[in-house]
Amino acid sequence: MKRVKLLLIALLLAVLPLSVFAQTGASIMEKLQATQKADSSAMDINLSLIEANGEVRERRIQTLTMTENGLTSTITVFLSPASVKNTRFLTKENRSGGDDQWIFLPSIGRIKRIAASEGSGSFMGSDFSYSDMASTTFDVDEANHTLIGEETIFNREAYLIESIPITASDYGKTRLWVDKEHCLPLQVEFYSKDGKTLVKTLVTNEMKYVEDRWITQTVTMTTVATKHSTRIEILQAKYNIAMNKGYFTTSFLETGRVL
Amino acid sequence: MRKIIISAAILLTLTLPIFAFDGFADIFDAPVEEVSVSSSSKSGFAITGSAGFSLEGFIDQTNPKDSAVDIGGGLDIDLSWRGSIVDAKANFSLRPSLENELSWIDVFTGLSIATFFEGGRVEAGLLKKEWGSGDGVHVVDVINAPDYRYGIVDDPLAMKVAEPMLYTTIGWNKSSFDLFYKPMLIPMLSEEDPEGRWSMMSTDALTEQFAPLSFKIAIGNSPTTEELSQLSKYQFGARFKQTLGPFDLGVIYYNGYHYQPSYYVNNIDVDMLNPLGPSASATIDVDFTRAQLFGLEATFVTGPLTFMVEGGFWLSEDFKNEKPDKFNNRWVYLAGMGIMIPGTSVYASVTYNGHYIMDFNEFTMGTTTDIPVDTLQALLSSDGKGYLNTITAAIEVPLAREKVNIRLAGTYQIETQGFSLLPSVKWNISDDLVFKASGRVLGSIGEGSPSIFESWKDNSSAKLEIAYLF
Repeated sequence: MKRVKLLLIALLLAVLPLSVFAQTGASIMEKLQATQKADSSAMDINLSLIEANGEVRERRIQTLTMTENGLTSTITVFLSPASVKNTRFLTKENRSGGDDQWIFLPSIGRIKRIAASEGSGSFMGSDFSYSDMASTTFDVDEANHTLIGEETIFNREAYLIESIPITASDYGKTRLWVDKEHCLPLQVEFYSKDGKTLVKTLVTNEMKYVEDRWITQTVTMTTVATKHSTRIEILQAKYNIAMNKGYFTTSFLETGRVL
Repeated sequence: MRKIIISAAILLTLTLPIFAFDGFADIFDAPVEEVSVSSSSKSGFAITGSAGFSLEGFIDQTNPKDSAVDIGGGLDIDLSWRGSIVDAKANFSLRPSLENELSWIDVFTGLSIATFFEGGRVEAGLLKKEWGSGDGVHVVDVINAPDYRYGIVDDPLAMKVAEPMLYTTIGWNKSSFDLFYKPMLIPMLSEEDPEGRWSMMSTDALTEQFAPLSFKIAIGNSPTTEELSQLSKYQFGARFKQTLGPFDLGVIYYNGYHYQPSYYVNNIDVDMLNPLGPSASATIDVDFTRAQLFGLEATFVTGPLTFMVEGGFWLSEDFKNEKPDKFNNRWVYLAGMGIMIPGTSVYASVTYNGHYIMDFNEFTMGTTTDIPVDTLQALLSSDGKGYLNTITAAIEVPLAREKVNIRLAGTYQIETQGFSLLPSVKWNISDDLVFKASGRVLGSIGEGSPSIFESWKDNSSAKLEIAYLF
């Protein structure tokens, strides 16, 4: 009888989802972050600004990111339309945990150092803020993450996690649906600072397997109040590739060249 | 000649292959739709520019009947060619005018070739460069002469003259070093006709200083264009910049000329016994003052705030204050602050700048037979004082997801009470079609002292323009 009990327990452990016992909001977020982590990445992106009436404006950007000695640098170049073409944007994380930022605007023909802390401003008139462009989820140590339950969304099994930031943030709360199979965000709801009003919704339209990892290839952010939305489509993505460090310099920012 | 230039530019535009920007071509594979152009090589031509049309109505406050409308617009073309280690750029501006013939300085707003080496580059040609940390306002931006022929516009780059020069930049770690050499002197550009709309040399303002004397001025010595083109009029400068945490710091040295001409009034002859009434006559000699600038620039960023500081000391060739026809030594200073309003994309900045002339002699009627250049400049632009302080503020408000951009810039000179307001609304009808409504309000508060704003008070205007970007 004792052997039967042990066998039942063993079977039970085998068939029950691991999450019931081991998964917590924090551990899922850790896995989510690990899934997306890379020492370097390069993305070719199409940004579609979609009005409530369906009118669409397209923007094309390319962005490179490199992490070295724990510090991340990002260079973003704007390829179209003509009004913003050749605008370049450099962000370098510094030892104090903040960012140093410079921008090159063709219209003024020089680089200019700019304030970096204002992450809540709209990125190129899109529904994404600068902070959203860096990450649409809170890091493990930035918020208290609670696993609310499991749901089926867009015909996929998902964990539902509620995150409340530890210190004041642009959002008072987020609700995140994480795909069980690929550990990617399927949907994120962003709430106002008081955590009560839904402000924006991010939906993953398409996932794709690229270079040994799954990525959210197409996502759409919608602002609830205006019904304006922004679709980001990753045209190309490359991870952990060798990159010329010269891209992450003010010299490249000004000239668009490295040797 | 104008037709030839326009025809050549249009033919060039039509025959050159349009080259898609390659972005990080060494990292990304060529997208399907761009394989034909970007997969072959990173070299190639690019053409960008705009074609536009504008109407500007000038409101003459003194004589409303003299109010007028200017038709403007034209074609701006930026051609660039990119080789493996060489870039070539040509910026044309074809803006026919009913009043003026096109000159090379109007047509070629930039023409340069640059070659790159590891850590740096060398550029040669007609270049526009900007030094200083300020938000469009500087006191150490010595490289290009300003262009006041069309008054004040809300575009600092457009108000610079592209000058022939050799410019090199070397960068390493968080440092950079810039060096330039200009073989000739191109002075500040201003309206040549004293009665012209944007004339800066207001003889009225000068003669008012001598009222009730009837004052006649004759032009004396003035350097010719050939003299200014001599190699002896060389200028050079260097800047070292370093990023230290939240600071960007720069040290500047310049050896050249004050770009504004010095007007020396001499041979003043007062005739109190003139039967037609008391009168005076004098001669104005025009020259340029050689000087060196020892300057600093700094930017400090904290949170949403950006602090900007510039300062410098102009050491004149007349450092002992012995030559009344040369500018004296002077201090220049600037402090500014910019802020990105939290939670928005609204940017606002305010800047305070000025200068202080050393060993300045105030003008006293009847005690001298000449007026030193600093004194005359002060009479015309800083209420007769050896210092001038200016406050500049600007705010930019993007609306409707950056489809609409509202901007207001304003300047106020404390000593003269002169001011300018430059409001504008830009509407991006589509990504390549832009409509802009803007204005220029110029004048003085109250009576006001002589200043360019007072001189231009009848040039306040409203402008409508539409441009197609390509």
